Amino acid sequence: MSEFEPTVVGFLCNWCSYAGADLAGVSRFQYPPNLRIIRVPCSGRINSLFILKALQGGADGVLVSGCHPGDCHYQTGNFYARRRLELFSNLLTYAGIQKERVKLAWVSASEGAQFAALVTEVVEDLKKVGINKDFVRDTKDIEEYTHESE
Amino acid sequence: MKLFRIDQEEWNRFLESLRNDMEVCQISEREHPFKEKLLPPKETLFYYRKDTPKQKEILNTKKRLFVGLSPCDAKTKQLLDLNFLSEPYPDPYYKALRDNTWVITKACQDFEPYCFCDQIGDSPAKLNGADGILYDLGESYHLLLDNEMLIQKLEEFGKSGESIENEDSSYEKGKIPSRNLAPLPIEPLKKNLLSQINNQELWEQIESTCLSCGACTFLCPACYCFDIQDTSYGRAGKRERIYDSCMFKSYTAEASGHNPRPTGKERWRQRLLHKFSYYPTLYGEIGCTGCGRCIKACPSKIDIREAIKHAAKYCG
Amino acid sequence: MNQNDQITLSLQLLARKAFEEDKIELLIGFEISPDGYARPRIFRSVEELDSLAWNHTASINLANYLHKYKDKKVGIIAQGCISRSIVALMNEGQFDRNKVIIIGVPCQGVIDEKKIRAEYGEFTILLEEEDEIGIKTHSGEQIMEEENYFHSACLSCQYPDPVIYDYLAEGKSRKVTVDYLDKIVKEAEALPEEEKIAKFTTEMEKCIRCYACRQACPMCYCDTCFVDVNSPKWLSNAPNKTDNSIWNITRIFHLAGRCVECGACDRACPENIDLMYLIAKMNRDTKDLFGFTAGLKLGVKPGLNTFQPNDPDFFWGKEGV
Repeated sequence: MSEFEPTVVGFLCNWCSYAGADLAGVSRFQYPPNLRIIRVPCSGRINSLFILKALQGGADGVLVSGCHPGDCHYQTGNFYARRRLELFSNLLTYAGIQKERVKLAWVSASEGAQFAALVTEVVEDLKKVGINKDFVRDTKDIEEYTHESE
Repeated sequence: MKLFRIDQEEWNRFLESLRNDMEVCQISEREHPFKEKLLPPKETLFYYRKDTPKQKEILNTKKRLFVGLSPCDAKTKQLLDLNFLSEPYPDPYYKALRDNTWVITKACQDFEPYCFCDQIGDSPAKLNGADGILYDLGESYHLLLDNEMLIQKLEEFGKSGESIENEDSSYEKGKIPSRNLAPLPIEPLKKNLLSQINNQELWEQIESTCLSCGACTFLCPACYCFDIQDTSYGRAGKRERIYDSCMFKSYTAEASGHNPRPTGKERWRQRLLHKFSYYPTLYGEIGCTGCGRCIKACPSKIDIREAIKHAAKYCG
Repeated sequence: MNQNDQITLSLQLLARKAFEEDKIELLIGFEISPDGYARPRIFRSVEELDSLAWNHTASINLANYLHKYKDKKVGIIAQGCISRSIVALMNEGQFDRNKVIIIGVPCQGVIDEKKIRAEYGEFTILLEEEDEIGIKTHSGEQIMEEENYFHSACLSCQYPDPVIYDYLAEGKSRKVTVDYLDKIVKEAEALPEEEKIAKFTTEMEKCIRCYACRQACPMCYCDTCFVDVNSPKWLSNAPNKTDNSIWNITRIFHLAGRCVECGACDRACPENIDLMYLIAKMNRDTKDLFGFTAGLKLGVKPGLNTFQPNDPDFFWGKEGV
């Protein structure tokens, strides 16, 4: 039986984290291929609905990463994101969504190795926690129909 | 119709025996309206595939018997039938549910503070289109059945009943609550409310504290507005029918941005006119069962009984 | 005379004064319904003020109606939580301070109808004394100790007195010594994960998406709510488990730093969903992490509209390399 490979959706800020991820690639740091990256201009752009929709759509985990506080390309975007996302992830954990499913991180453009380590950690944690059953949209009936009408 | 005398133990055994042929549900709470069984809050209509015109329609085939509802709830079937079964386009989904549904109500023995069926010409102890009604006589029941299939089943079970003319014939009905409340002035509304459509003062007074929350419409046995939502997944998808409400601001929002019912005033006008003017004009029945769930659910405690009395003052 | 009667008389006097001094064109307040409940009413003239009343069933958040009457000089009866809603709305630029006349009421708490109904069935209010409420049910008349039937928000209230007012009714507010919702939050936090998600899912499956919670909340005033936006379509309007979860979590989260914990949403819900346990967690987190409580002072930016450079930081990688 093959091991469960979690699907992780990553929202990376364009100026720091996305560049950091790019550096990891260029430097040939190995990290798991489970991450699907969505580039946003700033971590402050992250709407709580992005995280919820990712989970509802079937993502086993969501990673949000931005510039370190004080280094935001737009000066203050990540400060707002910090308040918003910490409060939001606390609320999700309280509602019963495992804390490993929502990872908040600061990764700068020069931190390629750290980015690889981050994604490795996220995927390992999610493998232990398992597949997202509680928050994924129930499409069993549509799937059954797709197969039966083939 | 036939009248049977049956005691509690026999009644429970009879219901058990019916479980071979149909699903038997005892309804013990009044919170949820019976309409949810005929017009579910979420109903899959059909599945579709994006590359072919083939569809898989979902029509109910499960037979169900509901027992223990109050008579006002049974009226749901009568009222929804008028709208959903009207020719030339009867609603096949509603029909499939309703044709496979039987209802035996239980005559009420008490009024709740917000009940008013007796004030709109109804009664807490009438058939109202149900297939049967149970009267609680204390140690046993009188069961009036108005449905051939159920009569046959009960006779097969071993009971025999007496044929009676109609439900108003004289027979023991147990405690039927009655109170000395004046009937609500429905007739003036049926005749003249439409003429008051532009009376801003009237509608403003009725609506003044409405929050447009829609709770009243969701719980009303006679409200049936619905919306259609499609959900896709990969190559296929499904179409669902869900509840909508004329009390929502977005109900009449148009693509241009214009909204002909922009404030609660217009929406309350629509609600009162629909129930007490349009429905009786089109179908002969008012769109209200007197159950009072709207009064209980309203966060602002708007009382439709007061709204009716207030509107009647302007209706001559 | 009991406190409620005293407050009622005081309110009638103050409201009359406000009308006569031409400070207000209409007053948002309460009247008593035939069943004994205080229900909201818009008073448009001095003559109507005989119906103005206050008692322990005054449960809706009146600040909601301010949105409807933005173009008029409006008076409003406000106890602690309502006055905080008004402050929070003014801090968001919704009203001018000088367009709203606030008649403050020191609050002793408001009942939770659902709690009473769960125990006694349907009821009407009979009488109100100093520290008792009498109700009439099918099985007769009951006198209850108020505290047992107050709403959980009232049992946790730290601000029963109005925080701003133009006039203040005479009376004494009830100070809460134990924060009831604190206990609820700690219990819910201590649950094992499977129970947390089970509790949450049970509540979410009850939701019928009637949006009564949104309509009852004075802070939910968006012209187009995110649930009504068609492009992008954030969530389905059908009452599915996951869509209901997204709706409730997001609505509650949109209130972070703005919610005054009045309980109006919880009371309005026709399906008895336990919203307070989620809202309480969010409010307590906002206070513990960022030191912010909504609606206490005019001129203060809402909690999530601002930041401190040294806010608590739980992000991965916060130390740098």
